[in-house]
Amino acid sequence: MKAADAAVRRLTRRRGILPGFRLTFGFTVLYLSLVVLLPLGALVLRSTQLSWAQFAAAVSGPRALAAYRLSFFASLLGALINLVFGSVLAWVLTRYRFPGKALADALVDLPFALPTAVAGIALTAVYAENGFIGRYLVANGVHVAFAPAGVVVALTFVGLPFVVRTLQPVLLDLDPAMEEAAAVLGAGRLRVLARVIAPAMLPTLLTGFALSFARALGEYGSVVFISGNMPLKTEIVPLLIFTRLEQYDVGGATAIAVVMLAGSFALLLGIHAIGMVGRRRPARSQVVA
Amino acid sequence: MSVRVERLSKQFAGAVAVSDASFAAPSGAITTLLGPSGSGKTTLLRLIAGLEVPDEGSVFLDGHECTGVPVQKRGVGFVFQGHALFEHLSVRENVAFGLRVRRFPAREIGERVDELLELVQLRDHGRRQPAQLSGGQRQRVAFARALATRPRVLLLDEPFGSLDARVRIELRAWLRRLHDKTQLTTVLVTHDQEEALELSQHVVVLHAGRVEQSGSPLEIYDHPASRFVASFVGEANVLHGHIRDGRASVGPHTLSAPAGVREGATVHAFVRPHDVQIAHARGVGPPLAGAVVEDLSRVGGSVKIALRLDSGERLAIRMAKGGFDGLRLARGDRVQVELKGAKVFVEEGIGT
Repeated sequence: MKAADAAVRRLTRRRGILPGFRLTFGFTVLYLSLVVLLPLGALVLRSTQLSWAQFAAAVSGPRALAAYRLSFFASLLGALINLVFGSVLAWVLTRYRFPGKALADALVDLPFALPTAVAGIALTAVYAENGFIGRYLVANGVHVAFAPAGVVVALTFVGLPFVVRTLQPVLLDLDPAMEEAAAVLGAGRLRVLARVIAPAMLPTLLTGFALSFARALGEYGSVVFISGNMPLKTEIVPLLIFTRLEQYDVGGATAIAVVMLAGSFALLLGIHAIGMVGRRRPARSQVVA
Repeated sequence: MSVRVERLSKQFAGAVAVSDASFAAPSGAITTLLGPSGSGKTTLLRLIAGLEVPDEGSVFLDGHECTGVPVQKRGVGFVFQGHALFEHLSVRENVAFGLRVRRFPAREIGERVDELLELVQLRDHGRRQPAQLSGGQRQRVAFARALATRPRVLLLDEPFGSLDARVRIELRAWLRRLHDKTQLTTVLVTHDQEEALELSQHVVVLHAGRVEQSGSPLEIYDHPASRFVASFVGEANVLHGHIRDGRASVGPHTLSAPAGVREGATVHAFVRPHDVQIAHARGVGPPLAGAVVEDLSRVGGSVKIALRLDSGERLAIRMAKGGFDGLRLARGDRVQVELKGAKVFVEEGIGT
């Protein structure tokens, strides 16, 4: 106890100016533990009731492997699509004034607010064989509903606001004089975009991408309807977990969940690490006049 | 390389920023656009650079009209108030930016960057990031970046505006030396009249989007063309009076007035703080121009004296410490005031 006390004191000593560090830090730890770590811990604990052999069998069956693959690649693709088009959207919403801008801005938030099951049904209605767009796509041999492409569409839909809302404030803060300086130096619009704006936005782009990706990995409601849930074909990991639970295979469900958890955590940590490297600048105290 | 603008006008959403402005900046000199905030000086500079498109009028660089030439092709260097460095690039890469855009060979870029870092005295800072530099250093990098492409004109938009007072004065002297070396035609925007008078060979005073006066610093200071210039450039007291017998009568003082003015018209006399002579009131009877010392304050080598004239108007004067010590003044003393120089402006319209 004494050692822990000393460690806390060492951590807090430097924070003399802003009061309340101990209190708020303590609260942060408690809150994170209760809300995030406790349920996840229980999950991991639950999975340890399986033997190693059972665990391995549960997480590495062909059905599970197919689900991992689909979940990962569909989420990745969705996040990448959002990264590109979300950037364009954020750019238009911050840089230009046009009639209906407030409406467009509000529309971006809809995927946040809409119950995802509703989104799933709506998307299915549009892309199904007799749907509004689907009838033309199917006629040309492109299947979206009840196919992996449908999973990507749903995951793109739910992830969009994360990219737009992350980029917007940073774009607004970007010093227009920086772009003007580049223009005076002879740089055309494309070069300004590629050499000045994009590098300045890189850490934010990464954050937006990570959020969108994470959201897609955990998404369930909107995918259920549009994917058709065919094992080995259009079954995502959250759905597989749910299926196992329905079959009273709690052990198998938690085992897959643990793999999913570890994978997501590793991915998010990796993206953050890349962002940290990009953002790292030596501290101000190292300035030599 | 000279800069000339003719009858430039620019409005932003109905608000007039620049209105019918014409002036010429002589080749090889520093020309200052001086005015309070909102006078249109920055807009005027941006019109010259091509960062704004004028509603009317023309811009000439070296005698050639370039009003329609895009900013990328004007061949000007521009330094922004807030340095506007590319934060993700090193100091070297910031300076090299314009050269890379122009596809200079790598070796040439390296040499040119070295040369410029030497010029702005940041030779050892090339590998730093802008965030690692002090404000003054960052602004010097901005100068180096603007100079790298060998611009024909250097345009400076309050380049020292965001720096603290001491650094500002240092950089002012530095800019003076830099200009002596480069002899580049320079247009500088500032609201700081001291900066304008100290740095430039030519001053253009702007007010509400219009050019009020254009001339050498001495001309502007000694012979202001309007009431605005007289009050904005340099410190000045304003005394009020009327035209009587063709001369300006300001309290007990009688000053010469422009010819042909209407009897009784209101006049404003602008008096510089150092153009006032005072002496102890002596002898009997009220002195010709009496005043009471209201306040005294020492500022470095000079003394500021606040007087209240018998007419009720206040007069701030400034004198060297040596002269002041000889006077032995104290607060509340009665003094006699003599105006050594005053610039009289007669108000148009109805006088009292």
